[in-house]
Amino acid sequence: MLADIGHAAVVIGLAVSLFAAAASVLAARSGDIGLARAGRRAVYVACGLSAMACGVMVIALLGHDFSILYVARNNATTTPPFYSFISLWAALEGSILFWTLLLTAWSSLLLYRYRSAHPALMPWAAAGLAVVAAFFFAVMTWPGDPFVSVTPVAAEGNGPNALLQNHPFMGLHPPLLYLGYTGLAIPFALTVAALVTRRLDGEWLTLVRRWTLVPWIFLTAGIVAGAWWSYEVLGWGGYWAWDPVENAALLPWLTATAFIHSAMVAERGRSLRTWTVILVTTTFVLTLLGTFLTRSGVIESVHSFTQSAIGAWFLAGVLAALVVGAVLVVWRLPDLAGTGSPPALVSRESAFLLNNLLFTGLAFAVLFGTLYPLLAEALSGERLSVGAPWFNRVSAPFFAALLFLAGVGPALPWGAASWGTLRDRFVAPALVGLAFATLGTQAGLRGAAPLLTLGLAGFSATALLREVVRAARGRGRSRGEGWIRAAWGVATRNRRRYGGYLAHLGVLVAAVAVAVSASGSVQATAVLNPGQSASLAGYTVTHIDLVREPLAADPRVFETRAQVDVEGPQRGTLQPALRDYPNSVAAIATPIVMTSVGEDFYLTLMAYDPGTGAVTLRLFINPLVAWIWVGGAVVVLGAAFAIWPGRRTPAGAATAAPGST
Amino acid sequence: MRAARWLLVPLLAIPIGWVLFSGLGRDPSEIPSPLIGEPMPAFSLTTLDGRTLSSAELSGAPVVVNFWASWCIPACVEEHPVLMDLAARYGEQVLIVGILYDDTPQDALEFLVRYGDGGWTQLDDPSGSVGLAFGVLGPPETFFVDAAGIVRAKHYGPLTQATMARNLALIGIGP
Amino acid sequence: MRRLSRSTWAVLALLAATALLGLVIALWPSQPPTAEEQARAIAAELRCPDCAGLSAADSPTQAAAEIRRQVDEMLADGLSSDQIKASFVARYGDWILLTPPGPAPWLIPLAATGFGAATLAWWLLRPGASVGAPRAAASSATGEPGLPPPMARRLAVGVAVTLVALLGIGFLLPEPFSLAAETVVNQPLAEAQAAETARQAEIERLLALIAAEPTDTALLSDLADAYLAGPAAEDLQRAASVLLLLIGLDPDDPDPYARLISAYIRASDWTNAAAATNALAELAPSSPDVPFFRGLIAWRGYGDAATALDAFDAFLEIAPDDPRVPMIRALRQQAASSAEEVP
Repeated sequence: MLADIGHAAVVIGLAVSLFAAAASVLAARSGDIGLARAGRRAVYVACGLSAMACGVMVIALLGHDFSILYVARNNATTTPPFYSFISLWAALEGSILFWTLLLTAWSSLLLYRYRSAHPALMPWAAAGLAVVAAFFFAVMTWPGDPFVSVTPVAAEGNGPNALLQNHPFMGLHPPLLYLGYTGLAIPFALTVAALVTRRLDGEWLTLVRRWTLVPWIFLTAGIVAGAWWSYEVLGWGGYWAWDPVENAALLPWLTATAFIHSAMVAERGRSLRTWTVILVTTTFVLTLLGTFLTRSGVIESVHSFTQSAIGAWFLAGVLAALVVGAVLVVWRLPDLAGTGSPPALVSRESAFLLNNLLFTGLAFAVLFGTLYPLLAEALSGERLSVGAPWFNRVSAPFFAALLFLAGVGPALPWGAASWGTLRDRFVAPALVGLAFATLGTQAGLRGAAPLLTLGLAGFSATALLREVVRAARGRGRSRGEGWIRAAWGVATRNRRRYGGYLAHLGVLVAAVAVAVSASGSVQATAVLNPGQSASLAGYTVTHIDLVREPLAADPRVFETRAQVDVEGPQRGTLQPALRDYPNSVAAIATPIVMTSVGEDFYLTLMAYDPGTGAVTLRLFINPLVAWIWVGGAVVVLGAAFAIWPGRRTPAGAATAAPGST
Repeated sequence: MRAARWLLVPLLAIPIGWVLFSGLGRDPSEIPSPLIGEPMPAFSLTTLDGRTLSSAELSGAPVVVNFWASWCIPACVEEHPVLMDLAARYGEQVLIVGILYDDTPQDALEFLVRYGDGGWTQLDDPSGSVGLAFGVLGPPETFFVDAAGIVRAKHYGPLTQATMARNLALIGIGP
Repeated sequence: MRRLSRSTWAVLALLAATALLGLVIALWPSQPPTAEEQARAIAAELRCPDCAGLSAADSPTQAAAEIRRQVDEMLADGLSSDQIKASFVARYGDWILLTPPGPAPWLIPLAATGFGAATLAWWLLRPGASVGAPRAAASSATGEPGLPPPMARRLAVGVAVTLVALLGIGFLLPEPFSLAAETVVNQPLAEAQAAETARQAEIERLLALIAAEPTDTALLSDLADAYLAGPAAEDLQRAASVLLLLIGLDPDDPDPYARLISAYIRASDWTNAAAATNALAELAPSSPDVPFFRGLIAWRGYGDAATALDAFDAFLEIAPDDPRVPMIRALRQQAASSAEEVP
């Protein structure tokens, strides 16, 4: 019964979104407002239908309705309600269902917000979004149906994947990421609209910039949250493994970041529009590609969903998006051409060009590394791996150059920069950067990577802060304000710029934290009987006892905990554990992390002997890891500040036409 | 020259499409083994009932080396009857050796009690070094070695009657 | 920033030079890496065979631990990093290296970025000739819409009707094109449920027949079998009582004994099982069932390895072709290894 309702909602959603696409295209070609309204409303209906389908699935999960195959595979009677709820997106078909809901919700938001504005662009944008929605509905109708029934109905289900019910954070990380991914369809649709109607001017740019920044914030938060989850939950002591699924999230983030910067130049004049359009299209194609890579089983990954026919469908989707984007760009190339005169060699414009090159080069390198095993096997039949060492080495120069640009870019003037300006703005930061690096050596840091990062971060941070201080001082002098008030005044008058500065600062903090924690972390493995101790870098751990009992929240799960006393700069009694889930052969590790400002003390239980009570513990001391999360939060904060509506009148609002929805 | 820019579209789509398409249908877990054509790695392990067996004692006859574990469910359960059948039919002609992968003798014996002990030697590899020597990715994995001690085939995953027959032919066993 | 005097510049330059010197000293590799650091570096370049994507240095699996141990050993033997990696490649192929071999994976991104950088440099450094006036009116609309609204509306209605029609037809199409909701069958569960229903029906039938003929041994035997096939504890109890009835009716028939003892063993009723086995031993001393059950009860019920071993060996000698031999062999190994552990 429930399955039928859900399935019907999906199938009708497919029809409705196809109608929305057709009506919107016809509205665009004819200029008929009524058809445009019909198209919009059809998108709202599609959103309602996908909400209904999600609701049905959630009800089935909470009620442990094992007549639905998805529920039987991913839920059990003992699964706590919270984990039952988040099972909606925890496995393949459910994640596509959730994705469709978010996509149609974003689309509805866009179309409702501009129901009385941008009459030339919106119908085409609606059509584009409706086609994408139709694609996802089609995937759910045929290869990836979440509402397949199973008979006879079993009394008990499999339960969720053990890794996914180990930590409540699974409730946060995927939704953030998916909000980012799905939201990036909007700038693509707007760009398609702009290319078709040849309205490639400020109207399009303002819209696209705003509607990229919001999903970008979610994507950033999602990536940082994923790294945090990998660190706190998975137990291998690291936060980024260059796993194909991680790369799938990073790739659109890189091109979207490049786009956000490139758009700043495009808004000022007619240059870089081709770049901007290509970046938006590439971002969207990369979001689909990421989905393809992780759902087709083509590249194995710690995240991978199982192989399925969905892979072929997503491949078709990726290629279709690629072809549509390429055709549109090539068709409108003459309209996109700029003034033709290159900017000065040392200017903010050229810095943005370099920025585009670096982000695109890095994205290409990461994509290349992710797909290289496929390529090599297709060409030579050989099986190869491309892992963290390769990615770290290849990405390092890009990151170093980007760190440099993060300070230089905002401080360079538009148009040519004279040597005097350069000296004024960059000599002091260079000296500070050197000082930072020297301080680093005094603090014990060794190795080119952390020292260079520290130096560049110091340089860039000083350059940024100089800009802020200069502007604040200027305003303070002219208005007689104290410099804090002046700084706040300047910031709120120029939210985009100062939000950007804050975001850059966040990046610098995170970069330093990453470099220091990567090079400075120490670890040890110790096998301890009850009462024995081991030490590492100022910490001493003593194993006290081994406890084994079922979890209170889910009695099917057995937890084996080691009680460990820790002495040192941080102290406490920690209980790292291994959990045995009924549907997982390997035990799932639950590490414990003690965080302080300077370092993290990280403890995992790797193995135990139930007879003697002996445990194998792995200890890590990871310096500055907390600052990675702080840096990420500052980036999000800065971006949010940048788009926060200020007292200025919002750009691009047309006069409201009465009552059309 | 203006029309030539349209070439960009197929130039972009075709290579990308081909690379991605070639990945479909590929089993990311099947890795070709460099051991094929090479002599079987030497080893000396303890059997489940306490004797020692070294690889030298296996020379002169074709050998089927099967890496398995009691926790590898359902794959090892699925292939167990195929191995029992092999022992029953060709037990005189081929030596079967089972090697535990990341498992304890107690758990292995429980598995055998439940699914039957076909009578071939079961070896314990407590450190995993023999698994590494053979290049094992994870159980079940089976190696087919001919009478001269050269590895002729490696099968990843549970054996079926068909794959068993095919691989046996490579080491000279067959109807 | 105010203009600085020459001397200030000189001081600053001196400071910068000192800092640079300090950096160079700091970056100069001070001591060669320790064996432990070397081992960890090598392990970080090797892929853990049975986990997804982690290096052998980071992975907790047994295979990774063994790789680390072998790396330590090979380093102690004096092998170089390249030789150690090559030894793993010899067993697993290039797949085990986390950095792909060959120059191609480095050259291609380098070439791509280099090409981009060269293009950028050419673009920035060329004489600033403009390419001519940009195409005019590129921001104007596409011109008059090409479709008259009434026609557009008719088309829209047409599309809607077609979609509804397709929806309707779609539910009638055959798989895999059908739009109807799919149902899959859980084969094992379906078969188990069907078997259980059949078993219950059979029991009903037999009970009815036995009511008419209470001493028919064939019917009683079938009823016992039907109960024995059941999953619940009550089924075993009922089977036992039916079998006892059979034995009561025909005390010289050894056949029901085997099933009775099996039922007791499945119910873990070792005392009754042992008693029944003794009764069978008196009745049919040369039956292979006797040592079979004796061994099972001794090992599974009482953990008595010595008695179990004797019984198993006797069974294997008497009945080498019995289909229960594989199970007994395994049990015998269990008992044997347990007997060894007792000092």
